[in-house]
Amino acid sequence: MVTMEKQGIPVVGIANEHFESDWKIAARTKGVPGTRYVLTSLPSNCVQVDRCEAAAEEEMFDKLVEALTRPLTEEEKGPVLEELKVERVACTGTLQEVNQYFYEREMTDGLPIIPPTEAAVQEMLTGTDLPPDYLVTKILPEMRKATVEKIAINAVMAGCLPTYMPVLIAAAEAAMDPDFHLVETGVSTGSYAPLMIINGPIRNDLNINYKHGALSPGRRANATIGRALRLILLNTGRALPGIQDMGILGSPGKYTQCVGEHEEASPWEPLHVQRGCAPGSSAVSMVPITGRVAILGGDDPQNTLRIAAQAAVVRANSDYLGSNIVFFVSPASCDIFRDAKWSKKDIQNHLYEHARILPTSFWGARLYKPTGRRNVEFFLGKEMAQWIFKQEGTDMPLPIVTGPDKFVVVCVGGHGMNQNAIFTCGHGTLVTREIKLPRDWEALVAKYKAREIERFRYTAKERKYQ
Amino acid sequence: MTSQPKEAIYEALNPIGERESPKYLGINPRLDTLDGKTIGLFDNAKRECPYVLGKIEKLLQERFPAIKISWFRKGTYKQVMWDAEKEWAKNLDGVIAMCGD
Repeated sequence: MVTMEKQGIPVVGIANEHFESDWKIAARTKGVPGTRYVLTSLPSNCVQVDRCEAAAEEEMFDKLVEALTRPLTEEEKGPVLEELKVERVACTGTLQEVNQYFYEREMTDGLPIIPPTEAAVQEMLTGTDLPPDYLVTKILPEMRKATVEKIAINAVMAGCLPTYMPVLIAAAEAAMDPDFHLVETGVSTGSYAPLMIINGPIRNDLNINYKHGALSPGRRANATIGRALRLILLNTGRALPGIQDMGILGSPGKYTQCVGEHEEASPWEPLHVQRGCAPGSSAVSMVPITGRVAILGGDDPQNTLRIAAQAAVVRANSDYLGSNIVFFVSPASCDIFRDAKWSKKDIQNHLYEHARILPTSFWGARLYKPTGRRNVEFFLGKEMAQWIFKQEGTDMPLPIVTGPDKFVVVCVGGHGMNQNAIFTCGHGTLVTREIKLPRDWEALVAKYKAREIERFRYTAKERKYQ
Repeated sequence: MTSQPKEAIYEALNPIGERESPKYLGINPRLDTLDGKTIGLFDNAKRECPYVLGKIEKLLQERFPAIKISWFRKGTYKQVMWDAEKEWAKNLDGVIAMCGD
C-alpha cells in the first residue's frame, strides 16, 4: 500500500491492533512513515462472517472515511528526514555490562553473548578472503547491510570459530533467496525457523554433527552456526519478536537448527549434489520449518513410508501448498531402502501418492472460502485447482504438496532402528548455496579443528570428571 | 590478604547493520468527499479480507450513492504483484487496503 501512496493515491490501511508497531516500522522502512491506518481488534485470519462485518461497521468504517478525507497536517505533508547512523562501537564495559547493554537493545537471542571486541572480530575475519566491508546481502525487513564484518561480529557473539564464516556468508545469502521468502518466513504469525542442512567435506572440517543427536545440543558448530544465523537475521533485519516478527507461538528452532547430512551412511546422492552443486563441494541448504513429527517404526520401505506419509499429512493443516516436506531418514532406515533398491525419487513418488487427505479434511483445513481457493489456484494453477474444487463432497484423496519433488529426503542421525522424522514447512521453499572456502582453508581447519573436543575418542578411564 | 583481580573491560563492536537513510515522503492530499469518486478495495488474501471489505463496500455505497468501487484481490498474501497493483491503482481516487494482520 506504500507503493500506491508513492504512486500519488491517498491510501488508508486496516491493521490489527497488535500489529501497530509492525505497521509503523514497515511504513517508515518503506519511506512513507505517515501512511494512515485504522486499527481493529478483529483477530488475524478470522473467518466468522458476523464478527468480521460487525468490526467493519462498528470499528472501522467511520475512521476509514475520515482517514481518506481529513486534510493533512504539516508533518504528514513532509516528514523530517532521519539521519541513520550506526556507531561502530556499541559499548564498553565488563562482561556483565556488555551483555546487559546488548540484551536491553534486543541485539541477542536472550542467551549470554561473547563480547565482539575488535581483536575477536579480526580473528573471525580470518575465516574469509572477502574484505570486511563487502556487502553480502541486505536482510529483510529493514534491509540493513549484512557486510562481512557485521556477519563476523554476530558470529563472535554466537561463539563461532573463524572457520564457520564461509557457512554463515552462504547462509545469509540463502536467507535472502526469493524462494526462501524471508519477507514472510522471518515475520509471519506462523513462526517459521530456518533448518540448515550442511553437505560436503566441510561437515567434517568443522565437526558438524550428523550422527547421534544431530539436532541436540553438544556440538559447537551445530549450536553456534544456527545461533549466528539467528543473530545475523535479528541484527541486520531487525525483525524483533512481537514488533515485526509476529510469530504467535514462536519456535525453539529460532535458537539454532543446524545439522549435516550423514552422507557416509546414505545410499543416495547428497542433497546439495541433487540440487546442482558439484560432487566434492560443500553447501548449505535451508528451508523454513514449522515443526517436527517423530516417526517410530517401519521395518520395510512401504511400512516406513506409510508412517511417514501419515506424519506428512499433519501439514495439511497448513494451506501452503507450494512448500516442502523434509523427511529425515536415519542410517538404519536408509539401509532398508538401500537393500530394497529404492532411490530418492522412488521415495518422493511414494510419499506423494500416499500422503493424501480426504476432501472433507482438505476443505476444512485449507479452503477457507474464498481466499483459500485463491491460494490453491495460485499454487496449483487454474486447471488443477478446478479439478480439486470438483472433488468437494467426494472421497477422492487429494495431494498435500504440488509434486513429488517437494519431498526432501535427507539421511541424518546415528545408527539405530525405527527413528525418522518429518519436518513441516510453510511459505518459503528449500534453497541451496555452495560454500566458498578461503585460499588458506586447510591451514585454518588445522588451526581450529584441533581445538574441538574429540569426544568420541574418550575412553571411560579418560572421563575424569564423570 | 590477596587482592581480587581487576575485571576485564571490553569494547564491543556494534552488530546492527547499517542502512541507507530513507528519503521520507509525505502522504498524498486527501479527498474532499468520497461521493462520485472511484475507491479501490485492496484484499491481500488474508481470510478475513472478503468479509470485512465486502461489508465496507456495502456501507460506502449506502453513504455515498455515486461512489464507484474497484477490487484488487491477491491470489495469496505471499504473492508479489507490484506491477499489477500499480496498473490497477492508476485510475483510482483513493484506496482502502486490508493487510489482514
